[in-house]
Amino acid sequence: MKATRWACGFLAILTLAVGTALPATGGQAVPEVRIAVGPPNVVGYLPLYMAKGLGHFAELERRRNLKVTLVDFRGGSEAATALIGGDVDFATVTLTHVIKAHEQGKDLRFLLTFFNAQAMAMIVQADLRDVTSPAQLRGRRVGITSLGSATHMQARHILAAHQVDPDSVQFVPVGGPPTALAAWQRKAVDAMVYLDPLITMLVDGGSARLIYDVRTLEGTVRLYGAAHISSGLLTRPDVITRAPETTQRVVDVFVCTLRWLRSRRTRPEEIARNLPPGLDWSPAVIRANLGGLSADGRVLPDAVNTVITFLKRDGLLDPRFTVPVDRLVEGAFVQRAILGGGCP
Amino acid sequence: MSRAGEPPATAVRAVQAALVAAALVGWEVGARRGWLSAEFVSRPTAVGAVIWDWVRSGYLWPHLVATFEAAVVGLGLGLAGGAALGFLVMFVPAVGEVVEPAMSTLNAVPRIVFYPLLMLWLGLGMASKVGLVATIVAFLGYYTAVGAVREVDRLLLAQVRILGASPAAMLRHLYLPATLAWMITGLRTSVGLAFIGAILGEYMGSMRGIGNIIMGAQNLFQTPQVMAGLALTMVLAAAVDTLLARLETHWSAWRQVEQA
Amino acid sequence: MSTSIAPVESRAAVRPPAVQAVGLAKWFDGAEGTVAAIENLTFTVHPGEFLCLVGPSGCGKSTLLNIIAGLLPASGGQLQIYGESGGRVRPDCIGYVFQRDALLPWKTALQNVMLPLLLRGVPMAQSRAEALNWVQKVGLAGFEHHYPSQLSGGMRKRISLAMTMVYRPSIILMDEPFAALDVQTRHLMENELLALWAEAGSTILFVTHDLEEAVALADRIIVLTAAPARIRADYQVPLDRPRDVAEIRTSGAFVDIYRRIWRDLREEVAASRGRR
Repeated sequence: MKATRWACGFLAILTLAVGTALPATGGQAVPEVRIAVGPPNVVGYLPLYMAKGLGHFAELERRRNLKVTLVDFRGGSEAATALIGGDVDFATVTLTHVIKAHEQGKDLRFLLTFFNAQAMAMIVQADLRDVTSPAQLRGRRVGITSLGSATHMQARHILAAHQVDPDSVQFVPVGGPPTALAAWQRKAVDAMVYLDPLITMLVDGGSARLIYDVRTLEGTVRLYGAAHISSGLLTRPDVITRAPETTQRVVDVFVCTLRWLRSRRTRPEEIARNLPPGLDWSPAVIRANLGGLSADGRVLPDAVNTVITFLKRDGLLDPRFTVPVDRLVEGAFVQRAILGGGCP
Repeated sequence: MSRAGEPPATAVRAVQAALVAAALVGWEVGARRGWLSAEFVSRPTAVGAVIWDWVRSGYLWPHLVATFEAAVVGLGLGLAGGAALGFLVMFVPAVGEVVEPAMSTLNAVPRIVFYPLLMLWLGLGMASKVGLVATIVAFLGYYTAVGAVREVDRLLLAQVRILGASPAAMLRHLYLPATLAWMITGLRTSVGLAFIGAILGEYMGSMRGIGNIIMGAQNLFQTPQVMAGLALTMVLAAAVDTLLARLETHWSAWRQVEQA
Repeated sequence: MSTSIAPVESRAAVRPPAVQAVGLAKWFDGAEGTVAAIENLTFTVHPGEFLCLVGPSGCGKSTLLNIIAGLLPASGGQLQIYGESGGRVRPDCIGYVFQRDALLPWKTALQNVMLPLLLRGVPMAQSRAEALNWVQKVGLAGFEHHYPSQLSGGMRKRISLAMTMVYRPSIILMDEPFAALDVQTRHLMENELLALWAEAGSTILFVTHDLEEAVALADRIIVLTAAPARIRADYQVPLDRPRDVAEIRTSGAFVDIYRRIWRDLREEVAASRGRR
């Protein structure tokens, strides 16, 4: 009967489609280096996108036969999970994710630093003229992405540093950039701790004033007493053991990119021009974040300890948790990249 | 070809086109005038420019294919697999005892929670998206097959038995065609689900796809790109639905109401 | 009670009877307790015979057919089809034309008629040719690619007949097949049935509540009582063949037989009405 025959034919085509679709995920002629990115397209991973925009990944494929593929995840935890699970060999997330992974008994290694500052800032509604510093936020509504998030913790740090009891403010979760914007425009919050590009957009647009900028190194050091580490590149120990050359090549690319960024730190327009197509960060956004960029990707042990200390202080890490720095960080590759000089 | 009392098809098409055009114009004007917040909904001209740019630069094609494949392949596999399980449950009572209660429970669980498991088994590429879509629509296939078998006309069943049909022949000549008839209507409703599944899967970890584009654009606060992604998804879903509508008419030829 | 009007040909000696029922009974467990549909039915059907079963509505005629077809198990008694018992449906033996037509709606007329042949492993080309032949025989040449929904009631009935006869079953059961048709179509179908039967030589068990139809068609009529069905009477119908069902109704012999049988049937109809 015609319909049954059609159905069988359709199923046959389907099976063929499945057959061709599935292997596309697996075997490939060129060895694939998969980097998990969580979340995608954030300023905190500027070195990654810069490397792409400058053509370093393309060159890696051409010269060394290594194909770099970015796998996008909704958030840092998902990307870290993918790394732990073995579906990817590298990830760009934060040091916090490495530490949390170790707390759960999973071994991840931090390879190099992107930013030594946090990529966040605190702003206040432009028309609240009497608020010029976080010290005046007692009893006010402070917007954050969600409770327990990095922005939430950052807000608490800022308030504490200005002698404001964090419990005396009302934290309002405002979600992702679109809903945060809506909340800001509706004046659902008096102040907000958020990330770029929204911060720059609101400040440049005139509806917000910066009252604390953690994006600069000074801002970070003032808050934590030392440099911090927000984002960077991670991997698993078995990747290091199995493919040390590949790991080195990837780290080389990042160090080279960081150096390039440092050399252009007074020319954010040039940086913006070299971003991959589609990424439209304005020179203003880039300029605001350049201060915290690591010069060469080095992982500073002091910074690592700062992160751990503050995680414990925020109650996000078991106070009794300890881990030797050499289990958290594998700094040899960065050292070699720095000594090796020049871009590949 | 229209029936008496219905407006001619061309007139209906014209009105539909006019409505769409009016909506687009309203959207554009509203965004420009500030009645609609352009930061959240963008403008048709901006969205169109983005899509045109994507098409021209060739950027769009791999993403479009990825989402389309995931949705369509997942849809087919899920319905077929679910139906096969449904038949098994109806024809082998032992299996039915075990599986049927589990199905109602599983159906209540939003399948998205299984996605991390799927990623673990099937990797980060197309396979896990296909898997997610398949698990979402499998239940439809299952309940359609079960319903079709239960509802099959007793008379037809008796007649086919007397004609000497083996169980396999009954499946082929009676149950499968009957299920297909039920399935086709369900197929159209599940197209939307399939695309939701594909895009959700991409949200949770992907290298390409419309969902991947939307996710990236959201973090860049690129509203035209986000809207473009949504618009393209609608177009894809509508295209598949149109195809299915054609198929439905074709396959339902035998259902025509008898001319008096 | 068997009333003979003419000598019965003794065909029984040559082959086993097509259907032999001894003390057949069927009861159903219902909401109000056990209901007997058939009670103690004993009869024999001879090969090639056209037997009509008449009785008041609801007396269990359809149940009897379903038991013979093997669709229902008997609750008691014995049933032998061509000397074999066991109660399974024997695909080559039995055909069934239901009251509501049982054509597969997603198959064309031709495909429906082809189905029994395909199920028997007859090759596609041959099935198609044979089925086409039968579609023509029932007068529906040109309609073979129509779906049942595109055919009138009468046409669907003809396809049902073709579908049943195409595989030449030895016994054809018919449950009030023409009841839903208008009078003229019914007469047409009855004549066609007789023609096909004459050619095929099958045994036919034809259930109807229309005594005129029964007398016009049958060699033999069994009158069943009101539920639970038992045999009230067993008549021979020695009218000449070939018959034209419309014309034969006016013949004297027809009217005689009709009157005689009607007396029995009338009482049963009254009895069944009285029970309601």
